[in-house]
Amino acid sequence: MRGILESLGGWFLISFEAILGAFSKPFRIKHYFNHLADIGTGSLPVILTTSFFTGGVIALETYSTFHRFNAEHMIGAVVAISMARELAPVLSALLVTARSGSAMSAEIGTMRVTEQIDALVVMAVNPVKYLITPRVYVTIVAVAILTLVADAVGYLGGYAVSVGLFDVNKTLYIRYTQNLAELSDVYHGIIKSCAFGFLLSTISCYFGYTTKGGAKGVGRSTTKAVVVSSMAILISDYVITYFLRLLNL
Amino acid sequence: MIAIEVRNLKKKFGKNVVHDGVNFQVFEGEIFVIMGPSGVGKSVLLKQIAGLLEPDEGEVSVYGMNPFKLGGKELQKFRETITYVFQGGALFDSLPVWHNVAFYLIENKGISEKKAREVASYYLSLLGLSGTEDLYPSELSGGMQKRVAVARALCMNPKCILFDEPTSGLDPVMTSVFNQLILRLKKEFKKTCLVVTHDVSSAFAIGDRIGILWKGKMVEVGTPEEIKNSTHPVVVQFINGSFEGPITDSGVER
Repeated sequence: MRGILESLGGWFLISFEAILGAFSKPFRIKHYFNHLADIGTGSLPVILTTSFFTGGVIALETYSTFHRFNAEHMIGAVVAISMARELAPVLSALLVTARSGSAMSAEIGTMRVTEQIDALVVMAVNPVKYLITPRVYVTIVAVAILTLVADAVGYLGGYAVSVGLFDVNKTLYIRYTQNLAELSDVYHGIIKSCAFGFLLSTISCYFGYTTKGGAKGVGRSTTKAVVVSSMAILISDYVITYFLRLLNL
Repeated sequence: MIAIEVRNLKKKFGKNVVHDGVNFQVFEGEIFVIMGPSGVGKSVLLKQIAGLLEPDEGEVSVYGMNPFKLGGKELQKFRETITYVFQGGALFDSLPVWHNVAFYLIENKGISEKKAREVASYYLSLLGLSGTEDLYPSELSGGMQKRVAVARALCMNPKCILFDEPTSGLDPVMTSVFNQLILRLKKEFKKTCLVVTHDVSSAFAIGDRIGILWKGKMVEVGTPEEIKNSTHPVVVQFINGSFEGPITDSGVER
């Protein structure tokens, strides 16, 4: 129990320092773009593929039920709402955790065990500001953008299955989506994705930063980073949804 | 003038007491070597002096500055006064050699990459590493990596340099080259060097004074001649590399 509380405290302090780090000189803007290219662009092919098939499988699973009530035109709205509010942010965050969160933890962890982080301190460079701050901000932005992409591609996946496979009327498919889905559904997903981006990046960086014990320690930190980030995403998903519901969002 | 002063330093990890009242002084412009068997806390001592690890008790002072009582610009001044050459070099493996050397200038001083590269090339050439600028640390031998780490330290123009096992893992010729390099830093660059090693011949070759660390205390401090003539059983066993004596009897984890 004491270990968990210590980790929570350590994570909070590092996260706080990382967030504040963006507001003091030097700003190192180039670092943000480098990380954005890696985390954002690098994750794009995985997000495109998974969200297309996720949208498709929702259409595939719901068609038979909706068809019984002659309501197959509403599949588009179901795909759009479920992608926007739930699946796109969660899927994007989990995939970025697997791909980039693990890499962040392993990279920072390796720097810790090879004394590269100590070398930063010796050279009067704040390691949290240098290593963690850009990763946190870039991950928040990247997960939000990837969520928007996943919304669109997931909807296309649903459209391809419904219209292409089940011959659903494409005009009605789109019209029902326009009538039932709202922009607030997208906002709902974006708010979640920003929270997930913050959680996965700070948790992954925290475990990397506190790595101990050589190569085995790096492996352990990476595993912890992925497991704890994934759990944090899924648990916070419920909590955020609950509060957003209270705000009618 | 005293460059580094360690007063009654105590440090323990859990129940393992590493330092139990370490005291010594390093004077400006000298090479002070700390020797002792593996596991007595030589590197831990260096990390406390460098401000990387906080002592439990006692005080570390570098030109009158205690890193654990400083912040902001004063801490920045401390960092510019003393630097650390890590045992494995601790080079940034994702950056080329020139960027490693110029890292402090680029990230801390805001010097343009073009100008910083010129400075890095100058220091690399001083250490016989011309032409390695665009290589990555993984493409260098262990000895070259350590020299790049020294070039990086020089780039900060500190008054004191801490060396953690500078000759470990090097062949005899490279060990000799590195010893000469440390002597050069003292003579040409007027640096104060604090070197941690368990290489007895290196210590006698470069040290102005030598301190022997044992069971959390500095049990002997003196010139190489005084250490050679010491009658302290730990010092005698350590410098002679004898199988029998207090070091092997104590069961220190080795």
